[in-house]
Amino acid sequence: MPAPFLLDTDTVVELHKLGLWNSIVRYYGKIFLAQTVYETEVRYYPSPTNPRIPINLEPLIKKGNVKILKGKIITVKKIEEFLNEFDVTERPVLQAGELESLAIIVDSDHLCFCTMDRAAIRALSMMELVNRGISFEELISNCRIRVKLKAKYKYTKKYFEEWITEGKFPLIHKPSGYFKKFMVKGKFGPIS
Amino acid sequence: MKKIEFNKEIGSKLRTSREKLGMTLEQVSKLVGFSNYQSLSNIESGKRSIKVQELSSLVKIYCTDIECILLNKREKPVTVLWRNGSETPQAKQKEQEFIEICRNYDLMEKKCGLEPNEEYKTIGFERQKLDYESVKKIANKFVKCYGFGDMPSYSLEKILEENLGIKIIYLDLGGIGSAASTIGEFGAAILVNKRQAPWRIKFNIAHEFFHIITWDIVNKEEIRCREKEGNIIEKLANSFASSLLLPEKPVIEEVNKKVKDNEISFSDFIYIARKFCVSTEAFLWRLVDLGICDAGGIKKSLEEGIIKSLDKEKRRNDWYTVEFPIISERYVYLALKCFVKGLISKGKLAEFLRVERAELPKLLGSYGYNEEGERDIACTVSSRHRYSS
Repeated sequence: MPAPFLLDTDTVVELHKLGLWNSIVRYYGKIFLAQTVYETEVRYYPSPTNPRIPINLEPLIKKGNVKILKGKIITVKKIEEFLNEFDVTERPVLQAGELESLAIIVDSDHLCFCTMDRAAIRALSMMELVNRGISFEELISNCRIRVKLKAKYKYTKKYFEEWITEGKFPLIHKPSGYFKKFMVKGKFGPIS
Repeated sequence: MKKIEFNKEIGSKLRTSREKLGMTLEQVSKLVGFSNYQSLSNIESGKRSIKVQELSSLVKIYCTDIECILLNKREKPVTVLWRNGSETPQAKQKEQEFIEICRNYDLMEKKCGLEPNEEYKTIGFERQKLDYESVKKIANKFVKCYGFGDMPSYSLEKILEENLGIKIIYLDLGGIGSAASTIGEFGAAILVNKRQAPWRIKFNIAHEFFHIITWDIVNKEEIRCREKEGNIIEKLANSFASSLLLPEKPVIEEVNKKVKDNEISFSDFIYIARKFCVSTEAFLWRLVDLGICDAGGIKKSLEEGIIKSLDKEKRRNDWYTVEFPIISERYVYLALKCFVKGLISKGKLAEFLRVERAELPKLLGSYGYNEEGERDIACTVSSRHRYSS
């Protein structure tokens, strides 16, 4: 079984849009979300007839299949430390949920972040945490669900890798391991 | 920094942001969803740590961003000069919203590698020569030099933004003011009330433009009390706006086309005013200014109200056909450019464009963009074409 996954807002929305949310959660058994993503960002998904169908995560949270990583795990102080490590001119501009998710990845030693956001993928790459990110395509293909992924390039592994490469560019100016110096792994231990 | 000190520092910054907007603990607590104001009070005094999503909600209310609160980004105070503005907390919130949009705009320009455009600074006014004649001359010079054409209203915003580097922001200001202008670290910017009539908006932009180009030579207090009757700076700004939007030659030509036996009807005046996208009243005063009409006659006609009621009737459809965006096309273009280049995230894109994520595709579609379009370049231009002027 692959590493437990932390999903970003877009991934949750796309899974709902494709009708894959329940299948994915059932397959992996447990999916993680940052508190801000859950409380303020994952709200609606669009369908061809209705652009705002509410997303209800409660049933799967109650069953324990979706776990919300609350504020005690990632504090505002951690976000501040995370932001401070980036070069101001190179830092991708991220929203609260994305910042929190990336700070969780930095702070944990085994969660894997699934995102299709260019800026978030670049940030992963800039932090030299490439092996802690996964494309939407990989998330789905792991559980052998067949979807026409060609329709959206952003789902693909190729797209993910392209943006990882983009994120590596600023590292040319920085010594190796620049971003790793602030990583304190396993602060909150294995998540179960 | 220790946790308690950190909490105190964040709390203090949050309190300053709240007080700047004139909001009470109770008001903000209600908006965030705290059951009572004690939680916020404890956060501000550093007694309680703030959660990430609470901080996210607060920065939205205070029209600032997380980085500004968490990192020691020092932002210089900005002077915003309002036209018919009020001092209410709502006005302060709109002002802060305006400043925040300007900062985001500037951030995107920098992220896209654009050099700051301060072309507006090249327009030189001298304080001692600030009179009606020089103001009109400068307006005429503008029309000629920047290619405004015969109907400057149609290209006004584009030229100010693209050529002169002035940011134009449209917000629903309700009744708290009609327009404002500022010059800050982010450059020059004009705020207009998108709820006003399109011709009013155009005039306000031209009026505020005058304040931008005379920013350094006019005493701010002199402008601050500008709504007062008889304020010479305001009158000059109106004269500038009128000369800019209604250039002499095209106006005279249009009037001559309609004159028959030395007479012209009110309907014709309204027709021409609509053509130039200015109010009929502004158009008539411009005719007085150009010596085409007699001031007394125009004043009498306006007081009788016939022109105004006819104008209202004829322009009924104009009001609804033009929907001003919250932000300009250039702002949307820059935001999308930053998103496509992975410089800002999708969540931030929605935040910058002031919509919910779910509404992004619709909004981008209305500007002719498709966020699903993964390729930024539609075609390549050969170097031969690129470098030939």
